[in-house]
Amino acid sequence: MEILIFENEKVEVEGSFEAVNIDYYDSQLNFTYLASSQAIGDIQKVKNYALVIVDLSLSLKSEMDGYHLIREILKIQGHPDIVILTGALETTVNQKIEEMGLPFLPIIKKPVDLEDIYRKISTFL
Amino acid sequence: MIKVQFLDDSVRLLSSIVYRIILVIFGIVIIFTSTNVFSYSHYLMLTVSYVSIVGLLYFRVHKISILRLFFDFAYIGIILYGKPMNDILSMSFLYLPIINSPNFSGRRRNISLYVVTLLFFLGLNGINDWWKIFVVISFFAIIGYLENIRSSISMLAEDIFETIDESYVKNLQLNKTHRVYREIIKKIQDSRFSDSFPIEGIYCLSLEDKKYRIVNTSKYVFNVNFVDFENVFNELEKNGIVKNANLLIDEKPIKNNICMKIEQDEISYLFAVVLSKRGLYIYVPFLINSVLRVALARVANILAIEWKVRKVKKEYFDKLNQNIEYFESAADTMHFLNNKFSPLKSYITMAERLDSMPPGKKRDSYEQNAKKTRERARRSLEIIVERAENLLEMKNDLLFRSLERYSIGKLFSLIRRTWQEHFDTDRFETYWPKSDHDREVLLNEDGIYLVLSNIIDNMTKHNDGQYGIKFENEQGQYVVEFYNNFKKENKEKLLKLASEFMSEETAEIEMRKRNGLVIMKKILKQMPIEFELKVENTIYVFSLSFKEA
Repeated sequence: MEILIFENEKVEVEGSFEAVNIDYYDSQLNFTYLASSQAIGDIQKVKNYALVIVDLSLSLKSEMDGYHLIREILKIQGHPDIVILTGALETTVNQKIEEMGLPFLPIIKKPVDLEDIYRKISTFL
Repeated sequence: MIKVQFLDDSVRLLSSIVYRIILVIFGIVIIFTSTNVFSYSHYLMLTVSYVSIVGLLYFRVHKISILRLFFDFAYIGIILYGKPMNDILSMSFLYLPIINSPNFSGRRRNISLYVVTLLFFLGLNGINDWWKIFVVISFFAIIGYLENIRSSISMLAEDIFETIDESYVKNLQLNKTHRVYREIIKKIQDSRFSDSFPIEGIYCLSLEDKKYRIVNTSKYVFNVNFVDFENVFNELEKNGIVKNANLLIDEKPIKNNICMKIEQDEISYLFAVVLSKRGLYIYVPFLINSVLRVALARVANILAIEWKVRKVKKEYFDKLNQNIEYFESAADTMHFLNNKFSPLKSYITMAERLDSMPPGKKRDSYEQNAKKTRERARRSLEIIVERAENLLEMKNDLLFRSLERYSIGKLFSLIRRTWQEHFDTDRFETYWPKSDHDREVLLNEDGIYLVLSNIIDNMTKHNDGQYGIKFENEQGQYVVEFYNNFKKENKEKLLKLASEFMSEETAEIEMRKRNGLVIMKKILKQMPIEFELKVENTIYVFSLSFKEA
């Protein structure tokens, strides 16, 4: 199963996602990490993935931040499920989500917890 | 603002009245000391009539100075009729109107007054040599003309100075000096000197290290340049003025100009005054020295103030930026930590999981991943420590470490100024001896201002009608006690607050809830100031003790 993760600090989280992959999915998941919104090229390519995990604070080099990237993905017909990855306060995130007119999405909080990762992604996988 | 004109009018009116009293007394003296043509009763009637008419002209009909002058001469003429003009009393009596002339002819003596007086003299004395009349009138005319010019220059100068003062005081034209230049130009253009000094523009440059920069100009321009600035600079250093320098304004050569150097505090300004054509240089030196140089010196004074205000503002904003940077950095840091702790947190979970994971391929993969994560966690910890050290260093710099010598007088002024930012009336009990005003203490001005602001701000919020400051002297220390009463229901809370604040053992975490007090305490600890927060019955007291440096 293909999972796309938009995260510019891959090294901080890849071990955690891999641990969940090994422990709960017998290494069946295949993670692709992209550091910026433009790295995917054609945004339609997200449809190739079962799940997209988006870090809200992508690097300054990313053309879109996490919120705008989510908005673009949601516009795509048949888009995959989305989970938010963030170190910000949940209330702050939800406030911003509301302001942008986006739906409330599951949030994996940083510093990441293995159980939490599993709980949030298992709903969709 | 009381206009100079009003003061001048009042003084002139008083002088005018005094002059006429002198005229009457002088007239009476002449009547009683000379041989008269008319009887005493006639002179008495004359005097009474003169006083009545002139009095009426003062109080019923204002500003008819010519009419009063007419009656002055009539009175003088009748008194002096038939009396010898080679008598000192008679001559002096006749010249009294000339002496008093600024009171009725404006700021300058009018040539016609000399002519009238001369004619009176001739009429009373008889005409012998006509040519002498022309000589006298010619000399009077020259003197009158020069006085006229002097007076015009003086009036123009006063007018311009008043305009400058009004612009800044009334209209608060700080940072709008270019408008003041336009007013100066307009005043000169509207005066009698517009042809002889056809001013068109004023350009102000600041000078530093033989370089110049535009400060402001009466018209919008892109650039002002000198072709051979070194020569101009040397000339300015030597004489303070350069005429017709090789000046370019927006690349256009400007032939007719006068450049003046004016120094104000530590700043040198070059004012380039541009003329539309070559002026009549006979008046130029007077206009430059009596009018322009003085006016532009006032402008330079304002420019220097503006520069200092901008400098203070910049320092304030630099500091504010540092604070903002600090807090932004703090927020960023939390975000950064959340990222960096991920591998550490995950590794701990992985380690625990490995304890219960049975051996096999899965465990091997998990263990390998855990090792990688452990290395990542180690590296993350190093980065966290590095960042923490940077942040601590920033924080330390923020906390007002540098101390300066500060006089007691200045400290008192600072406390009063800060008080007045929060309260309308001063409520001070001052026991600091005035003679101690020059004694000095050590403090950081910004830090102490922050502390004072916090303390007084709290007083405004928590007082129940009673509050103030006591300035006392105790065992050689200058003590400032900020006190206020409070509502009974707050007593417990305030007692706890005072106790926690003063205790060295109170957990940081407790005090962190009262962020303002924490910062105050940290600032005060950087300075040689003893402080105490206590509750005495129903009075809350925050005292600061300053030791003499």
